[in-house]
Amino acid sequence: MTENYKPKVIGFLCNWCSYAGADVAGTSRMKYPPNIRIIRVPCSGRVDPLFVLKCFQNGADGVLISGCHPGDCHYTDGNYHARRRFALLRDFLDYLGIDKKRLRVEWVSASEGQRFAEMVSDFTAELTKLGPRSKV
Amino acid sequence: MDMELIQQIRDKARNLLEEGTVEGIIGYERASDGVTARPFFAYEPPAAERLIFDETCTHNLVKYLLDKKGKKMAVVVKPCDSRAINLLLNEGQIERDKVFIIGVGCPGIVETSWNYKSETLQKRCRSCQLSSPLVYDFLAGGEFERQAEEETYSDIAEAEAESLANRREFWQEQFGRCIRCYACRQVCPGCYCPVCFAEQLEPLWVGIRIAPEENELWQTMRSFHLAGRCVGCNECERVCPVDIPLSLLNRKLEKDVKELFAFQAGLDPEEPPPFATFKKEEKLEFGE
Amino acid sequence: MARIGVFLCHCGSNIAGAVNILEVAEAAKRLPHVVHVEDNKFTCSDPGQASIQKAITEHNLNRVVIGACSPRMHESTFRRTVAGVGLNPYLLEIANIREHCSWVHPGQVEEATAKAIELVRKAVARVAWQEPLTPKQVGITRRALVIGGGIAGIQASLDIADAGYEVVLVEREPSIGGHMAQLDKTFPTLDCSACILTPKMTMVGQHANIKLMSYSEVEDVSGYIGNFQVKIKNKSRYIDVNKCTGCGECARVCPVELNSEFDENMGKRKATYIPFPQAIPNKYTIDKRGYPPCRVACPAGVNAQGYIALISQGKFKEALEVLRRTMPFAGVCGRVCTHPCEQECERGKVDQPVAIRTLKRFMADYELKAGREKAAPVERTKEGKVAIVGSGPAGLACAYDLVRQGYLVTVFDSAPEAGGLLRYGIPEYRLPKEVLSNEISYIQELGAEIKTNTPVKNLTEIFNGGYKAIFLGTGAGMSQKMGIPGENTPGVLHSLDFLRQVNFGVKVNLGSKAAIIGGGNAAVDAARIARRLGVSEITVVYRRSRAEMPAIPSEIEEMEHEGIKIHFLAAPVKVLSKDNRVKGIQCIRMELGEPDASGRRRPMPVKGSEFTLDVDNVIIAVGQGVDKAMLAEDLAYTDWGTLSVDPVTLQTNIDGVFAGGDVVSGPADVIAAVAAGKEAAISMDRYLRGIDMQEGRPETVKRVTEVSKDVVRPIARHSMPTLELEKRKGFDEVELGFDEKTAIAEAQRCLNCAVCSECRECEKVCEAQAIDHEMQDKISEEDVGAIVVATGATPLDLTQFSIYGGGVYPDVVSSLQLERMMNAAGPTGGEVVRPSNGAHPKEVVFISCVGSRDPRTGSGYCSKVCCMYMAKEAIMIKEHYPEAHSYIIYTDARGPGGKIFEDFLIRAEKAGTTYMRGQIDSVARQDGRLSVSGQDFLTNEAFNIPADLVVLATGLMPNRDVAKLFQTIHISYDAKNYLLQAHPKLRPVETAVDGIYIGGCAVAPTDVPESVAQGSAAAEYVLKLFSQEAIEAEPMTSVVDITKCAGCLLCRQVCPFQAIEAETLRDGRTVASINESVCKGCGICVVACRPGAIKLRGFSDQQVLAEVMAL
Repeated sequence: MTENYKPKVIGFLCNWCSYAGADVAGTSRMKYPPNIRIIRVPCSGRVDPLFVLKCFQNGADGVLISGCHPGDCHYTDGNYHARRRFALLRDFLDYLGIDKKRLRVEWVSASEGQRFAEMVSDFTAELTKLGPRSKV
Repeated sequence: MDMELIQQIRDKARNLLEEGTVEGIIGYERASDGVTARPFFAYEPPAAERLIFDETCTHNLVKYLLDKKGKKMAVVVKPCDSRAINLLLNEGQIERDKVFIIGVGCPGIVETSWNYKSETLQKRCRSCQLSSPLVYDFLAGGEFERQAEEETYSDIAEAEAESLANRREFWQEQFGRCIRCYACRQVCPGCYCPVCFAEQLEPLWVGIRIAPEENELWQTMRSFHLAGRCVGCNECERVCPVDIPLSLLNRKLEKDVKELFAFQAGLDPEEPPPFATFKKEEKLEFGE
Repeated sequence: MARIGVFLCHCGSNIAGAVNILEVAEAAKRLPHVVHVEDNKFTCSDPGQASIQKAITEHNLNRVVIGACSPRMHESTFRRTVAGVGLNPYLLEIANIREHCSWVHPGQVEEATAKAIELVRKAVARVAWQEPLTPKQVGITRRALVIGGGIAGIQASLDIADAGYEVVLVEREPSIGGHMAQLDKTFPTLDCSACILTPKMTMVGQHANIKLMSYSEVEDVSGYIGNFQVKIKNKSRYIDVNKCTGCGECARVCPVELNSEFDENMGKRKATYIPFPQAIPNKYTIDKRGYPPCRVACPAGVNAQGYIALISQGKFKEALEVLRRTMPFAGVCGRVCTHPCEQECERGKVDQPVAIRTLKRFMADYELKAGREKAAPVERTKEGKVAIVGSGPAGLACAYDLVRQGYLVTVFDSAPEAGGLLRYGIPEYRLPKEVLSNEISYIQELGAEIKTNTPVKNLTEIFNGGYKAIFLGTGAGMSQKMGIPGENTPGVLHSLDFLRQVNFGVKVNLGSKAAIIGGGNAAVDAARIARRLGVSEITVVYRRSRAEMPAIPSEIEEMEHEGIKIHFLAAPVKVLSKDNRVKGIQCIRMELGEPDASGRRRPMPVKGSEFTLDVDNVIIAVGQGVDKAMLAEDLAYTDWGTLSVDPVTLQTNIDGVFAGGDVVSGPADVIAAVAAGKEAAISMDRYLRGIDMQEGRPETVKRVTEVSKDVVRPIARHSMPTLELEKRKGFDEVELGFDEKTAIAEAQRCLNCAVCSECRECEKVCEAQAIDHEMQDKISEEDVGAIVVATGATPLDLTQFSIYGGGVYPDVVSSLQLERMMNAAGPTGGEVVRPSNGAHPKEVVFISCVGSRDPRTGSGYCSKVCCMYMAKEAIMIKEHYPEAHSYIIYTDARGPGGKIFEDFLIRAEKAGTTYMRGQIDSVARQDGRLSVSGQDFLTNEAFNIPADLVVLATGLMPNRDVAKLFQTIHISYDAKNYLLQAHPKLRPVETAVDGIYIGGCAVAPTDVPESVAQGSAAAEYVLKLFSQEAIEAEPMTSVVDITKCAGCLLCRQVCPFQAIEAETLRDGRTVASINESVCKGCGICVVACRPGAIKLRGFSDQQVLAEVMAL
């Protein structure tokens, strides 16, 4: 593992639940590592597997997709579709040699600021342990 | 060659053309090497005499139906090809009453190359569970029974068993050879988008330069677009000029789709494909 | 060509304290297309916004990026800013460098700055791809929906209605008022709660602008702000509210009593009820929860709960009327029915099922003893003539229903008397002929003609006689033969023939020993009759074991009691004779093998195990079959030799000929025959009227599923008195039935599963004729422009707190229960008493924070109102009972919200209440009182207080099932089901969804003044919306590029809002087409589209990809 390796994490957060949850983490001043870059989407169902591939191609070490808890999607079904898409993609990427631990799908509600912070810290720590993606 | 079977095909084809039931037949004829087969289009009744069917007829002719929209065509179809018909019916790309399907039972297709016909069955045929086409209007040769090995996806299991690092290295090497000729896409009946994602400028998902990461993106995304849709004809792997093991990608997804969503493409034209639907209660290992 | 301006906000030190803004600014200057960069202390302030506007104009900017707080905070603010100088408000992007950066990475300036630079770079890349968007102007439906009729909802409704707009107020309970209606007095003014609430409730009830939908629930909400479509289920009250005068007669006669929810289970109410006297609307509601299990289990649909409820009140005549609505055989079925109802009886889950059959019999016996009045003949109102062949239970039940509908009915039977197997099969000691004849006479008195001694040979004759429809209830009257050698020897009898002869009164000569072959009711009847005819040694031979024996268990028991033995696992092989008379019977032992088609294990003979029984007679009772030769017509039969009929209509293969009972099913029980007769009657009536016979059949019934058994004390089922053994020589009835006292006591064991029993006594007394038991739930559809959600909260159930004695000791009550006691209109008439003995308490202990501030038991939140109401209740108790004394054991005693609140607590103390800061360890029973033990935190000493009454201040939690409602409306809620506000500080009555507003306890525990304030606040937002000309529809919707669309329509399948349709172009191609007004902008379709033909404006692939590549 190279020294000074800081994992680059890209997160796709849905506007109604997880992005709001991340905001709550902010207003409550929870601390988490600064590696993550958050991209806002209307729904976790908007996240295209192609985006994930481009993230990894562009040097991301880990990708997070976060949406509402199943049953609570603001658009009713978006997270169910996301769940299917990424269940398949994660396994496929792992098969191609991209560790499945690098693609995380988490359900975070608009009030779960603490959970969001803990989850990002956990993910970043795990990615630090795994090392940079291109070197694997 | 089973002359009786071939005669049935020829007779039927001639008959369809004579009566004007179809405008053309898409079938097989002997290639110019005199050994292997090639696709053939018959538009006049006498041309039906050129039609053949034997163990060298590897091509998935269903692909040709895609640009014949509006014209009623007949097509010669093996069991694997019939799954492609079901897929295209499900996705609204062909209309059932515009296709006359001449089905043939298939004992398996052998490995061929120019002027050479082997005794070895193609990999995809060994564990193919179908002996007769799933949909047809006329079955040449009658009902056909065939013994097949059980489908265990052993090739995939073997690949999965390798370490993560080995897998990475393996695929980097495979993708490195890709010259982006898109032969795999051209031959695949499931690839019919008016503008392929790989040829968009806005947004530019993949450039055309031959670089491993671009190639990887192309290969991964095409396979993923076929997840739950690939019918396993394996023509893509056959036509690849640089020997990329595409079946290892497509079959991996086929196996996962079967396990996760209990679905296989092309078996039932009415069944909704896995990404069109979902089950609220399904737990797919995401921190539920 | 994009000309981007980047504006970075310090936000005081909120951002600048953790991020080096100047460094970010420098980096921003080097970004592509950026022509202007500036930073600001407070960008959202007036000068900050003005600066942006100035820059746009001066530098000719056409895109703006603002690095500041979360876009969820100020995106709309800044959109207005840029729009103010003519720039399209969507050409704006916000980089969240506060909530997602400076606030979460304090003390890491280098990393936080690097991150901020990337976030700004990403925003710049994105905004370059943003297109100008123009929102459509959409009209507003100026009507409001308010969900929840508590004080918050009431206030909101009144405010909106008073402003001149129509309000639909939906309340789940039969009356509005919520929990405030249950309170006695309210703090801190000690106003009587009803006095201040009911005027508002009355105003709601009478307001011209308020459409009150009580006893209703919201089923579905679709649409968007200004344009919601709502579906509301108006639950059926079974009473027409327009006719009901609230007189209360229905409740007076209703036999079903249950705990009153309004009185917190301290009092009772009837199945038809008004929750409290000041209810709005002041109309009765019948609480009917479906069909009780007994009724569902009965093949004929007899409403057992109905007549049992009336028996429990001593209304025996009315009870019998309830039964007679369905069928006439109270005495018959009350004696011989196989009672499937008792198998399903919910009482059976507590101790034993209610003796339904015996209660039914009791009603008949009671009437018979008192003397039955002759029934009045039914007026002939229908044209057709109906013939019924066979006067067994099937035929008679069919006749009964059809004659009551006004048809001319004639029943034909070949036997000398009517009744079929009821008379000629079932023995006298089980079913006295007198009882049967009485019930057959009843049917005849109604007008059905019964022609006995009239065999029917063919049906054509019947049709020629002018009959338009025929029912065949001819039964399965042929005894099945065994097919063993010697079966025809004199002395061998077949059961049906034997029973018939005995019931005819013919003398049958039997010897002293007999063997009965078979295990069904016919075999048992034959055995017990043989005993009464003097046969001394009787053995029943049955080929399976006791577990499989099909006869009614009580009959088998009585048979063995009468000394008849059963030889299990044996079957006869041949009849032995001497001098052409039966001498004995050779049998073989059997063992049970694999199950056969009926599911019972098949008996297999054991080789070499033959044995002989010496008997004078053999009576064979192994089955009954249909006599196919009975009728001349070519009727269709099944493989089993029974008549083949349509399973729904019961019509045979001959038009107009129907059949039911044993002739169709093979030998079965009486109630199945009755059910078949009734079903055929429905078909025949429809047939004669020329309407569809299949429609709506079979009827779907809603069986009650949840029956509370919490407050039921186990009482054993009353047993059936039987005739002593010595008296059973003749054919006197063996089972004697209940007397009045026992019948009433047994009927009172009924749990009233469906609550309203449909006894229909209420209908008899309702002068306004407002009752309609056939009423159905209705679905109302309403168009509204705004929604207010005020669904409230409810205190936790005190039975959860058994550690404090809740649900264990009757003298431990909840605060709401105490309120009900204190209330003059409550269950104790305003007297605070100990539930255990009705005495006034001397020492009362209040325990605070029961289920509050403790995440293990409740919400973990403070419930806010308890400190104040405990003080109030202590003051009130002192006022009523000067000798009483109260302890309040508190964690913190808060009087939040102004000085009169704090004063109130002091007043409670001054009134003699002892406030003790501490924690309770346990509440236990001691010397007839309760003993409350705990720790005093201030003195650090343990205490043990003897108390007469313990009051638990149970914490508030959102109402049950609200999560489902919130999901339907698509508003967010937290893990405890409290509603989430758009912003907890600045937007406390809005939600993240435009047009939906919230207030009251549904958001967090609040007291009455706050609920009123929030209700008004929510109303204000609604009025604000309605005062606008039009609103702008969100323009971030999806659109299809038809040049790229392959027409696969996967997008249509995944759209949750059905916004996508197929469209055929002029060249014949099919493509997808998206309805802009319905599209919500989720983007699921964008991902589904493989060629990328769909663009979500505002979140296009180009934009998101630009963000990814910029990182």
